[in-house]
Amino acid sequence: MVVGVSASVFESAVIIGIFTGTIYAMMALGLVASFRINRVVNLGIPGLAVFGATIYFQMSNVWGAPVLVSLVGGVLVGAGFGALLGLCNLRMTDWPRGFVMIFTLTVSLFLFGWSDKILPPIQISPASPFGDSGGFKVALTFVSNHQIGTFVTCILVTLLMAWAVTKSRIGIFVRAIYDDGDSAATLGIPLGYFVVGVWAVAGALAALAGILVSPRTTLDPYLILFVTIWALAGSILGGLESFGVAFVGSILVGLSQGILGGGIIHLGPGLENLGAIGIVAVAVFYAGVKRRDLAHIQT
Amino acid sequence: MALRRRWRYVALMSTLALLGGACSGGSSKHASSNSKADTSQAASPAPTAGSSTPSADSSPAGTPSNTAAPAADNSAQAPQSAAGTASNSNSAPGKPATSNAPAARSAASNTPSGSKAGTAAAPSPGAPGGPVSAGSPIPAPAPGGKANYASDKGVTADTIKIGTINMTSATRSLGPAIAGVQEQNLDAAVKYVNRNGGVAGRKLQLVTCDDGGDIARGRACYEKLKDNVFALVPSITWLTDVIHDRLPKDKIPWLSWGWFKSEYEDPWMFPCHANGMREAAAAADWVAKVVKPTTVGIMYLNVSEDIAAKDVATKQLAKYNIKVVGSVAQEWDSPDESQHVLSMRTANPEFVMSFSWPAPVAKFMHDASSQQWAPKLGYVANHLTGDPGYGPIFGEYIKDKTYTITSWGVPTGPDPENAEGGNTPEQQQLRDELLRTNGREYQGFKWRYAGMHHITQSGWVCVKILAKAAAQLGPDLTRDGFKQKLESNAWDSGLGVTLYWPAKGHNENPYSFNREFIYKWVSASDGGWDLKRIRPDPVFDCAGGNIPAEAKTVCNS
Repeated sequence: MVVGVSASVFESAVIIGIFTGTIYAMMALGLVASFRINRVVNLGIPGLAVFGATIYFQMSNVWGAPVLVSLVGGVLVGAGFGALLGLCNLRMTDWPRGFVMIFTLTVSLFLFGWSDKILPPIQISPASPFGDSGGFKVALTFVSNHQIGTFVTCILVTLLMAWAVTKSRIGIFVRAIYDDGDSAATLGIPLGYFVVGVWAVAGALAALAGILVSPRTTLDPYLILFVTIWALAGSILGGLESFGVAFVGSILVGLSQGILGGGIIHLGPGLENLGAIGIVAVAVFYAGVKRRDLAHIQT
Repeated sequence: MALRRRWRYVALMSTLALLGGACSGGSSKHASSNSKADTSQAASPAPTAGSSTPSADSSPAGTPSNTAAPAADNSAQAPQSAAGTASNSNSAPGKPATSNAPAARSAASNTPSGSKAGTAAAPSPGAPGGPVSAGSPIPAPAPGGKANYASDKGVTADTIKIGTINMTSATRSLGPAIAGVQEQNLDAAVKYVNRNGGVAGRKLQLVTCDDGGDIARGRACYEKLKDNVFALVPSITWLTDVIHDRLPKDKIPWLSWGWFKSEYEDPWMFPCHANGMREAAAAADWVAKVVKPTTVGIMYLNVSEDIAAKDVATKQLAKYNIKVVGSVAQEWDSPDESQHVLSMRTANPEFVMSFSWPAPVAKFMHDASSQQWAPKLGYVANHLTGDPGYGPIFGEYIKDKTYTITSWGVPTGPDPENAEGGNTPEQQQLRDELLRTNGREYQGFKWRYAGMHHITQSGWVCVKILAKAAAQLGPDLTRDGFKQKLESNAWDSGLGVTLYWPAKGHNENPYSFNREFIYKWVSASDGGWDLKRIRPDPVFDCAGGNIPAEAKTVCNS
C-alpha cells in the first residue's frame, strides 16, 4: 500500500473518477426510468445502448450522415425498441418481476448479436458527437471535449428526468402507476400508454448512453454490459427510484475506481473493483438506514 | 387459466433452452474437403546445406551460442529433400497487395532460418534429427508400395481429418477478428497441401468447431472431435489449458497455439507459438541489455498467465538492478484506463512493459495520448498487442515509441534487417496463399491484419508440419507414430523459427522459440503503420541453442 501523493495526483484521480462515473451514470438513467413505472429491472438497457450506438456508427461512419442526424437516428431506434419492450411488458403484467427481468436480458443478447452482424469484425470507437479532439489540461490529466460534453449531457438529462417525475403532470401519473397501478387504472390513467411511453423514453436514454459511452469504451457489447452492471451498482443507492441519487451513486463508483486505481492507494489486482463495490455497499447500507427517516426518495 | 398458460410458456421456454444447451458445444463443420488438386507445378526446392540441432543443454548459461557448421539432414529419415529455399511455385511474382508489400523477392535469396550455415552443433544421441525445411516437398508415396488404409482414428485410405476448436463467435476482441481468421488460414494451409499432392496419397480435411470462448462448449467440441479426427491443429481456445487430463487417455496429438505454459508440459501437445512466461523473460532480458532503463513499469492482464509473465519479467529485470516502480492490473472489461495512466505516470518509469490484451492496452494508449504522457524510453508490448494489423487500433501515439516481441518473423516493408525470418519466401508464400483462399476480406489493414497474426502464422506452419510428418509415416499413419515423428525431427518453419518438441519434454531444450523477434511500430510510407525489425534479437537462453548466427542476438552481439 502506498499512500501519500501530491495534490495534483489526487486532483487528477478525482477528475478521472468523476468522468468514469459519468459513463456509469449515463447507463443508469435508462435503468431508473424503466424501474420507475413498473418496478422491472430492465436488463435490456445494455442491448438498447449497443444497438443505438451501432445505428449511430452505421449512419455517421459508414453512410456519412451528419453527426446530429445520426445521433437522432440512434436515439429514435432506441426509443422504438424500448417501446416494443414496453409492449411486451404489458403482456407480462402477471409474470413474476424476475421472469420479466430475464426476458429483458434475452432481448439484450439478441440485440448484441444483431449489432455484431452490422459492425465490422474489429473493435471500433464511434466518433464523438462533441468532436474527437480538443480539451484542456487539468492537473496531470487531460479532459477532452467529449468527456465534458458527456458530463454536461448527463447532468442535464438527470435534471430533466427529475423535474419531469416530480413536477410535471406526466410525472404525477407515472408516480401514481408506480405506487399502485390498479388504483391508477381505476382513476382512468391509461396504464398501457404510460408503460410503453416510459419504456420508450428508457430506450432512448439507453441509446443516448451507448452513443456517448462507446467513443470512450469502444463499441463492444459485452463491455457495455459490464458498464451497465456498474451502473446498476450505483443506481442501487437510490433503490433504482431516483435519477439524482443514481447519478450520485454512479459518480461514487467512478470516484472509487479513480482513486483506488489512480495511484493514490495501491491495492492488488482486482482489488480496485472490490474496493469500489465495498464503498458503494457501505453507502447503500447507510442510505437504507437513513431512508427510514427520510421521505420516500422519488426524484 | 392464466396461471396454466404462464406455466405452459415457462415449460416451453425451458425445454427449448435445454435443447439448445444439449445441442450446443459449437457447430462442427467440414472445410477444405476434397478440394481438387491444382495441377500447377510441384514444389522444387533448391538445395542448400541442412542444419542440425544443438545438444540438449537445458541450463541457461548466457554464453554465446555455438555457431558450428551444420550437419546434413538426417538421411535415415523418410524421404525428404535437403533444406532449401521455400518454393514459390504457388506465388505469383510481382503481385504486392498494397504499397507496403515487401520487396521480399529480391531479398529473399536466403534459405529459411535454421537451415543455413551458422546454426548450432551436431545432434547428440536422442536429440531431434536435422530440420525438415519449410520448402521441402511433402513426400509422395513410394510407387508400388503398400496401399493406404484406415490406420487410425480420423484416417481412411484417402483422407486425414484434422480438427480445430476456435472461439469464432466469442467477444468482439477475439472472435471474428482473430479466431475466425485462424479458421480461414488453416483452411488455406489445408488447401495448399491438398493442391500440392496431399499427404502420401491422402488428402487433408479440416473439421472446425466453434466454442464461443466457453470452456464448457470447448469440451463438447473436443468430445465431438476426438474420435473423428486424427489430430488437432492450432486452435484459439481456452480449452488448451484444461484438457490435459484427457489427451493422454484419448491419445490425440494436438499441435496447439502455445498460449498456456501447461501446453508445453503436456506430452500430447505440440505448441506452435511462444510460451508467455518465457517470452516475458526474453523481453525483459532484451530491455535490460538494449534499452537499458533504470526503472520500468509493467501493465498486465489480471489473468494467471499474464500475472506470471509480470513476475518473471520483474525477476529478470532485478538481475540487472532494474527496478519495477509501478504495475497496473488491467481487466478485459475495463471501460477506461485513465486512472491506470495516472498511476503509471505517478510511478514515473523510464520504460513500460505490457503483458496484456489489445483492448485495455489500446485504451491505455489512447488515454496516455490524451494526457500527453509517455515513458521516456517507450514501451514494449507482448506479441498479442504487437499484432501487425493493430496499428490503427492503438493510434498514432504508438509510432516510434512502442516495440513488440513476437514468436515469428513478420513481413514488413523493404528492410535488409528483416530478410532473415521476416521477409522470407515462406512468408511470401503464406501471404499469397491467404490472399488466394481468403481474398481481401480478411486481409484488412495492409494485408497483414490478422492474416499475419502470430497465431495464424502458427496455424499455417503447423498444418504443413503435420502434413510432412504424416507423409513420412506413409500408409501406417498412427497417432503414436505421428507423435514420435514430431518428437524426432526438427521442423524448419521458414518464418525464422525451427520447431522442436524433444521427446524428453516439449518444454526442454532445444526450445523452439528460444530466439524471438523485436519490431518497432513506425510510420509507413503512406502514413499508416508499419513494423521495423530491431536487432539484436531477444533470446531466452543463450546456451539453449536454436539461434542462427545471422540472428545477431544479444548472445552474440
